[in-house]
Amino acid sequence: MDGEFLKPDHDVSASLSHLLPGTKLQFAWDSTSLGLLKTCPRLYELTILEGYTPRDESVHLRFGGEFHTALEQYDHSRANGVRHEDAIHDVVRELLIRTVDFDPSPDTKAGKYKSRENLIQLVIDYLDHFGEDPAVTFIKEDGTPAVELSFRFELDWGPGIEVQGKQYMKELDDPQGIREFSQPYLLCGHLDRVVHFNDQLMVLDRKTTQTTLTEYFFRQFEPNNQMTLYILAGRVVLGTMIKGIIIDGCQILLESPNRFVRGMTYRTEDQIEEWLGDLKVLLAQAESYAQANHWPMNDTACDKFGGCQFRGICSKSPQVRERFLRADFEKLEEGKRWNPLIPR
Amino acid sequence: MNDLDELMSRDPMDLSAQDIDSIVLYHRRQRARRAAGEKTTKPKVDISGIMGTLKSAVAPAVKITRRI
Repeated sequence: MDGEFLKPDHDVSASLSHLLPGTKLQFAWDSTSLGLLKTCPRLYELTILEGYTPRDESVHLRFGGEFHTALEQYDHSRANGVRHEDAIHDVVRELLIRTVDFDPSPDTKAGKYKSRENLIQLVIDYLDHFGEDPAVTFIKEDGTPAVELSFRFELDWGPGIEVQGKQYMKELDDPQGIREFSQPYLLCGHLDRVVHFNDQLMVLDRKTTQTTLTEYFFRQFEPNNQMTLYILAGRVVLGTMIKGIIIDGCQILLESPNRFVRGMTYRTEDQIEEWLGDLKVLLAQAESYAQANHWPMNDTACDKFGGCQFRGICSKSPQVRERFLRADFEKLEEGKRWNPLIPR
Repeated sequence: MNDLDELMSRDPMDLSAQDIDSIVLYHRRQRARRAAGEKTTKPKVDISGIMGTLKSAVAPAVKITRRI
């Protein structure tokens, strides 16, 4: 498997599709789209292929994105020798400028917890908490800090439909056609930071949550689709032994100080191989769904994670679902939908 | 509107270095207040404003006779 890290200004057009032309067959996958497909094919269809999103989803995305951007700036400053206090000062100034239009309604739960003021509070609290962090940013061969790394790498196989197409083009002796039918699967994503920690190389990932940071919270990462992919990605793209992932759990609280707890998760080579084997079967299933143009509902997953956002839709009769979807959800334009090929 | 609200409502491009330091300091104090168990969330409604508009209670026209 070969892979690369992408620079933030990497020339990837928003129009570049993660689907094979003229199909609903996805060839570029990230942990979000894989996770949705694993949870429920119908959930995957509605979110990734159809582009439905809850009306308050933008608050969560914006809050999370701004939080990560602020910490990225801090990590860059610190790796370049800037003092903690000066780095915080710069981060807060930039955050205020970027979020001048961010004003979620305090009457919604999302807006109450994820306000602009709470965002600034969370950033300052996190940076003060981990100010003297024993995890030190890894410096890449090119001398830049390994912070906010968008990655992309090819798998050893591609969509089966493509294999059939390639075979057909071979029979026709059409070299151009063979090239067009040579798209391998891609795995894409984004690593917050790679660090040296206790003489080991680890990926560091930050998770904001409103739930209590107990052992139960950290248990969700073992096994975990996203964490296994990130460890694999770190090993492929950095070409070095990433032992595991440090998870900084960040609990947003309104009346008490925000809480931060650090957890770890590790993967062996065998576990990674097993995950890749499972992935091959899963992607073959996705191909069969795309060919049938039918993504079945996994009705044993509707109550997971506090209840699926589409539960109210799937519980309706199929004839009226579209009407309820349009009322309760926003359907994003194609260019604005989740696309693993677009780096952050 | 408190000092932080005033600072946050300004155009961020106009904030001085001292203003930014004040915002950072405010949030650190806010964290300390929360750690000490103080209530720090703002009330949704300005109660004192509403109380000022209330008229004094008017005595009922008919005297209520208790049954028990």
